[in-house]
Amino acid sequence: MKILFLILLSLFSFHSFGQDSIAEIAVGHAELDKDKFVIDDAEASGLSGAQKTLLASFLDILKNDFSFYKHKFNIVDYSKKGQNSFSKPQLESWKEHGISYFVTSKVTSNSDGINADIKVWSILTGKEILAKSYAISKNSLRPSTHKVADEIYRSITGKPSVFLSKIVFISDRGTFGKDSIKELYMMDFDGNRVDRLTHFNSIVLSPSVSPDNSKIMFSLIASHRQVSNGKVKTIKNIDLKLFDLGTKKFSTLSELPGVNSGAIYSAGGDHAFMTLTHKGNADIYEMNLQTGARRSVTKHWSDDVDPSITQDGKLMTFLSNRSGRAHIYTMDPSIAEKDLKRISFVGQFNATPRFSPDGREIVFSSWVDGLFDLYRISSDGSNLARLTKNFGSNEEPVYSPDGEFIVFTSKRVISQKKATQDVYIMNRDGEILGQLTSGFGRCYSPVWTNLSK
Amino acid sequence: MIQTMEKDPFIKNFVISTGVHAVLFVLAFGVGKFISGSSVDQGKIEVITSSVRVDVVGMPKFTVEELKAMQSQVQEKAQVEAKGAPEEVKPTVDEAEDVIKKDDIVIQEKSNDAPKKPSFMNIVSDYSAKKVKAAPKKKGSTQGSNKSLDSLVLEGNKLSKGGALVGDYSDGEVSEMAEYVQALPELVRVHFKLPSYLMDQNLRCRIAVYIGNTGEVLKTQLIESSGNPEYDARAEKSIRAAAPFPKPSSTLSPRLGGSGVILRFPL
Repeated sequence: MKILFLILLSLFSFHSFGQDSIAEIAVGHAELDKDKFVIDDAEASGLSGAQKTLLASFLDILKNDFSFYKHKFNIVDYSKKGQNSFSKPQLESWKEHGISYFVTSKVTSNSDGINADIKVWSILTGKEILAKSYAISKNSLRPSTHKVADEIYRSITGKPSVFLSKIVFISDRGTFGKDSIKELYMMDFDGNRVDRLTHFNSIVLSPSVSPDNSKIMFSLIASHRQVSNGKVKTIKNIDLKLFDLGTKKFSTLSELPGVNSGAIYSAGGDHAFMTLTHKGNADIYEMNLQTGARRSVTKHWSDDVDPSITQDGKLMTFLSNRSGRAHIYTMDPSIAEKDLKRISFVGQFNATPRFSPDGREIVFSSWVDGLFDLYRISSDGSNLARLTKNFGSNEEPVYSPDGEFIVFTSKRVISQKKATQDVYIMNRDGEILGQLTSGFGRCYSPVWTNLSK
Repeated sequence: MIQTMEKDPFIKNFVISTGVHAVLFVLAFGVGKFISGSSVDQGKIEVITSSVRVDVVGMPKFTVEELKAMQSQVQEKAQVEAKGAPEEVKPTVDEAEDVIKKDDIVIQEKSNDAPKKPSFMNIVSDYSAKKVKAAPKKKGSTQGSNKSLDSLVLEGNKLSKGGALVGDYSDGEVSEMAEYVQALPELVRVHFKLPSYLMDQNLRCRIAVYIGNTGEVLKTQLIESSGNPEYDARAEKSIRAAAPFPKPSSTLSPRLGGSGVILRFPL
């Protein structure tokens, strides 16, 4: 019986051992532990004075590029002069300083400028993760350096950066008041190398860049000659135009009576979503860019404008006053009015909702206390967050193609007759990184080109 | 006994049958533990979530950057107060009699056994009184990205206490254990940091932490690996960095040291 008793006792003991439940709780998302990053002084030999200046500019641009990603990287300025860091980098000493990545270069002279051999070391793994040569000339300094920066960024993160992206925007540069005209411009992501793209002497509106970066759609206030009762008169219409960046040629996509505006490309680039008013009120339509065939995406007596679409094409956000005020809605754009959902319920006037590249967030502007400020909201309508305050009137936000940044316009009223409006860049949490345009007229509607593959 | 068993086949068979079943049970228990690699009984895990009152009554007043600054203030204060809480001094019976007299009207308040943390609403109120600096026009800030802001954004921009209760526990139902466990994420999260290449990989792991009488970490045990050793190590490191945790009460202590608490990284 003793054996039986012991066996039964042991069974009951097992039961009582696990009687209390075990509490489990989520910790939450990690903070980013910024990678410490050193761009070392180059090993240079046999350079002329001009080549030394070119090298200094090259390193400055490289460091400036990475400073935009300061929420990811901490560029540390440790001088290792006197050491042969290119051939025999002192990885252990960098490790002692908590450095994660180390960029070293060997620069020699060439006929057009300099030749830079770049190596990137992962201090954690002790491995060389990039070793490549680049020719840098005075004429190609900025694009070549952005390319070097992009390849360094890719070697570390495995993803493309925005360093090779450009920003297309509109400016009324050189014109004032009633006579002002607005033309299309394009600049590097950091605000340098601005090119004028159009010379219509008119008003250009709402540009959009094709997924392969080869074309830009935009609207234009165009003049049309119309014969009525034997009389010829000129009428204004907002037409949809296309600019081919390769051939530099323009074509007309849509010139229906009224507004043909706010067009954006579908993910594949073969369709466009746009606002048309030819039937009276503003509705959103999808148009086949090859055939011109179109179908309704929204069908409502109120005005629906400003579409933005996720990269998989399954969700569209837009602005509508169907509730009485301008609010943000989402829907499945495959069928008219399908799965329509209102996601903003506050704000006197909301405008220009734009998806993040992953489709999880929407950034938009909202009229508060006499100014526009920028906000973001999750695509399901949760997590409404404010991004700007006490920073002028901020509008037309748009995510960078990697989702890390937002460019927007910010207006400063100088006097009753004078105001400036420039393009600014901030990270996705609203930390202002800098002003991209300055003294370039009033700037509008910035959009990014897409990431190079 | 042996003689009795020999005489009665029923008792003999009963003992053999019971013994065989017991051996099988022990084997199954041991093999199960060996396969799972964990001593934690998954069936007895009680998942706890925080109770949050949610009302959105207008556009958010504070920016994400302002909320970040407030969050770090809250976390710093919580850390300091959790670690630096003085030892509780219980009054003697005589001292208690001096304070509460026979005819006094006593209004019983909530227990203050646990170290009092600054409420988020108080921090927000304090912050509201300060003049907020205009956003910088040029580069220079060193603030980092923070995904955990999403939850804070939800909390930080509400001005009223809220009417709708979201979560597993109402005010009256919060058990002592749940209250203790709910305080842990705030203490651990501030130390949970990942390098950029691990941030976007959607990794997750679960770690059991066993907490001693004084709030020290007795041991940690990886219950579910993310598959990435560095992620698991950084999660475990954040637990150790957050220690010592608040001193548990004598009733909680055996449970925290015996069964432990499972922390999920990130959600």
